[in-house]
Amino acid sequence: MRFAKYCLFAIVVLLPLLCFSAAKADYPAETIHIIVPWPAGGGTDNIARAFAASLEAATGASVVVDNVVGAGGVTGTLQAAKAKPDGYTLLLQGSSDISTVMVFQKTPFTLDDFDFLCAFYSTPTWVVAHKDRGYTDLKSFLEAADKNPGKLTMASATPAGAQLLMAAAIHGYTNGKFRIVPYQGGGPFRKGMLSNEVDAGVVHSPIMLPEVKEGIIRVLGTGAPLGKINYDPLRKTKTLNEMGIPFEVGITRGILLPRNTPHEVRAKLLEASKKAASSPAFAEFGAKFGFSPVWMEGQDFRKLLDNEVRTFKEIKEKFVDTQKR
Amino acid sequence: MRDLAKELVVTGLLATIAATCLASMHATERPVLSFQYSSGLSFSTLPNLYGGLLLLLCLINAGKAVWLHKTSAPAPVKEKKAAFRAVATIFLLFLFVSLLGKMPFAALCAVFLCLLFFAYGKRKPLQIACIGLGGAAVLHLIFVTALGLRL
Amino acid sequence: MFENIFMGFEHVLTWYNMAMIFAGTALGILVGALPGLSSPMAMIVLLPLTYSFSGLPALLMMMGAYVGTKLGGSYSAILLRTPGTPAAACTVLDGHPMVLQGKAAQALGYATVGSALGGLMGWLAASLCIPVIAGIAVKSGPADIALIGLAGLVMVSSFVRGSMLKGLIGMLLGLLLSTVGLDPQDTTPRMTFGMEELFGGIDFSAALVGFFGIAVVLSDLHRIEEGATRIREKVGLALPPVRELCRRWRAIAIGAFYGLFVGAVPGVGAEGSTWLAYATVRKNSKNPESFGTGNPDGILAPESSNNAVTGGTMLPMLTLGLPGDGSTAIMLGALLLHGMTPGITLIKESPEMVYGLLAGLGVAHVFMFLLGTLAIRPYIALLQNDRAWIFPFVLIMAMVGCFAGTNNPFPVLLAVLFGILGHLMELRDFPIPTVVLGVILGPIIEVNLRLALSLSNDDWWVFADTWPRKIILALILYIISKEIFLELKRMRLQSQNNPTVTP
Repeated sequence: MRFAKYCLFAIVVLLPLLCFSAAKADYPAETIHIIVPWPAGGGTDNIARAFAASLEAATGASVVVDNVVGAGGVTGTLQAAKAKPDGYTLLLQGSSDISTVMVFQKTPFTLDDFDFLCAFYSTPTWVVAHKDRGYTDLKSFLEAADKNPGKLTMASATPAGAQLLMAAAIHGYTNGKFRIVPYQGGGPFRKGMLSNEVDAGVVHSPIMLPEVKEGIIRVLGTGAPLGKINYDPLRKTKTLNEMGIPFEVGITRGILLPRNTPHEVRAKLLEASKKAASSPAFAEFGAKFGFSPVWMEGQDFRKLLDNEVRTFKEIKEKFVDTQKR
Repeated sequence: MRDLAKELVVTGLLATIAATCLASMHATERPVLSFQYSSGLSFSTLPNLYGGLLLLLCLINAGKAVWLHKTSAPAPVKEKKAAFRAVATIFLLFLFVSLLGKMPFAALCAVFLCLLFFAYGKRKPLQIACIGLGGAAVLHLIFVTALGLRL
Repeated sequence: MFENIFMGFEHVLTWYNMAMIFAGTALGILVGALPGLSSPMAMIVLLPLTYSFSGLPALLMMMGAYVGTKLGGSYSAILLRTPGTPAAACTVLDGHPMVLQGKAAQALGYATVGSALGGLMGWLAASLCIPVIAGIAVKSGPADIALIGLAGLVMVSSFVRGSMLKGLIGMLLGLLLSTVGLDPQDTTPRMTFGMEELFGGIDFSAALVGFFGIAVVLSDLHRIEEGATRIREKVGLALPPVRELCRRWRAIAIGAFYGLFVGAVPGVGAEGSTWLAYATVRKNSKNPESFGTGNPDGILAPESSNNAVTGGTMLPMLTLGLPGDGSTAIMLGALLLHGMTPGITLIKESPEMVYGLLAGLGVAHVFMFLLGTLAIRPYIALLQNDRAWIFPFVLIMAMVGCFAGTNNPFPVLLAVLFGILGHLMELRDFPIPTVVLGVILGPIIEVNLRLALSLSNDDWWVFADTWPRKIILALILYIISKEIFLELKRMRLQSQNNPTVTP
């Protein structure tokens, strides 16, 4: 009975808390949730959290990150697409993450389900190798592969994604004689790279950057120009295009809103995001992470995505699926 | 006889799961890739292995149960009460899952808790209400306020 | 090397930092004890707080939580038969029977001491042989991990008292469930029946919450009347006497050994090491049949193991940036957010971070021991109440905890379904731990098996390449043959004693 009385006391004390409802105030009055369709601790999650902190400073509202994991990003993306378009649910996605998932699977959403706000962080995808293997650039790797057909391996950080497409493109366009070995994510990939299990690997930058700075890992080539990287010696790395492989890939991360978000809310959010992306705190994060932030308006972000979906579909059909037997 | 029936039902359930999985695997086409990852194990090797072994062992278990069964005493009354409570719990669990996120969390918890207390034999309405509402408040604090879940 | 550790302690032994570790550990014990809330969740909650605090204190708090959850999970495993965290699943086997014998406080005491000692042993060994541990992390390839997973699997016979057939069935069910989802290598959807929610596979927390949390409550419903009166135990000194511990040193040491070394292999973690430790201790004990009925060794081994794992996982994370399990991955993320990249760079640029965290790990275990001991009585008082009050809370917490991990209601539905299945299986004496074992080890074995074959170009001999692999392989074959032999002997005895009765 004493227990029951205690609970009654608890109710009396806590009931006001439960009945409290926020008055309808100007945006942003409630907590803003940023959905990240990837697990906590990963690269995209880190970028999201750093951005969330800067956005909190810029808007004065509380900004939290929700990791909604599943199905290569589909679960979180779908949840964001179906959320109320009131500006309190944002989706942080990366250009090649969302476009590859649409190319590899039949997704229950399309790009039209979203309103693209902006993009603020861009990282190319690169090919790396352990220094003990002795390759100086992609060409030397390809030559070694030709000399030992079927023996060399190139890892891809994910089994179905931009990283795999880049490996497949390299394999296809150069008639490479190496094997592609997929890993289950950045973490296992890093471990495989450090243990020198594979000859080379494709992964989004700046994963492996610290090891590159230490000299353990070499960068053989990159999918998009590395001019903005915070490490001088890598700025002139040859891109795939320059090496005769007509494929460009990187991952540009930005904010998406559910379709039909009201204009005033969108405008306020855009302004706040711009402030956040250009804030010194976020710039500092960028410097430590490897790249400085960028800024891309919504329509340009959307165009980039449309482009990617088209290119990726091509590459997939050419090099990943078989020819019809 | 009842023991045997129960054993066969559960074993049969497991065997059905195994069979469904095997059928599903059989129906899945393999996307043939232009470059191979590894020919040693395909996407269906392990699921077929597990499903096949599971089915086999279930059949052996069923056979063993039929071979070795002895008559048993009828179920005591206590078991019947527990069975009723189990069914009530399961029903309420499904209800909870379907309403999760669609109604305020604290209210849902309070209703769920009170109903379960009643199903489990508690009869003093004041006691049920106090602990139910108090508990719902605490749960709200933990999951919505502290953890910030969207409920 | 010792100067480094002393330097680490220097940084940690300030009032502020100690308070952070203390708070984190307390939070961890609390969160761990709640069924459904797990260690990675505690980490995610603390992650935003790391913005307000500077690097070392914030991470010390996270680490305290990491250590605390390992003990907290065991408390609910012992008292409620449902583990608060996956790492505590093995402790249920001997922990709960002790409660049924009226020795709840002793069981918790063994768990506390085992965790503390195992954790400290793991910590000491890790700090003293940093290069060895780091070496294991880097040199272990997918073949090694697959073999370790397989070894854990064949030990399933250790948890089956009686019917090996049913144990195997449970294990295969778990393994089958673990293959649902997109194929890890070519992303073909397997057994997803067109549901996108299943593309990512069956969420592990759904399996744990379902088979352990919900099924356990359903199975224990008939015990509601029995426990009607509060068990006013004579809670004496809960901690086991030192002489007892000295007698049982083997269990603690074996547990710590497995925890540290298996923890160092990225990807396996406490979930695998606890089962291996338990099985080994059981095989080497003088009365293996007593395991599963309340043998304290059965608590000491897995508890010591799951805390020693913290040393094994933290070390590669700090020195190489390779996290050993989900919680350390989040800590890695926290470090990255603070602009520190674990690895050789971190040791050079901010050694106080690396060694401070290492020192903090030891301190966290001491706090865990103290807090744990203090918490034994309140926990028993709270959880030994009338089950009719406790069970509904357990059900909600388990389900919402499952939701909290994924922010998605589908796994909760799966958990309920698994709960029903698990309950039905328990009614017919199918051992549930084997199912969970299959679900945990399934992906570890499959992904690494196929990766190893990919890398070696389908050369199966890669599994016997190095000496560690040869040893593990020999062990596996030995255990399998011994078990088959024993089981045949058992069956022959059974048929001799019970002639078939036909109606």
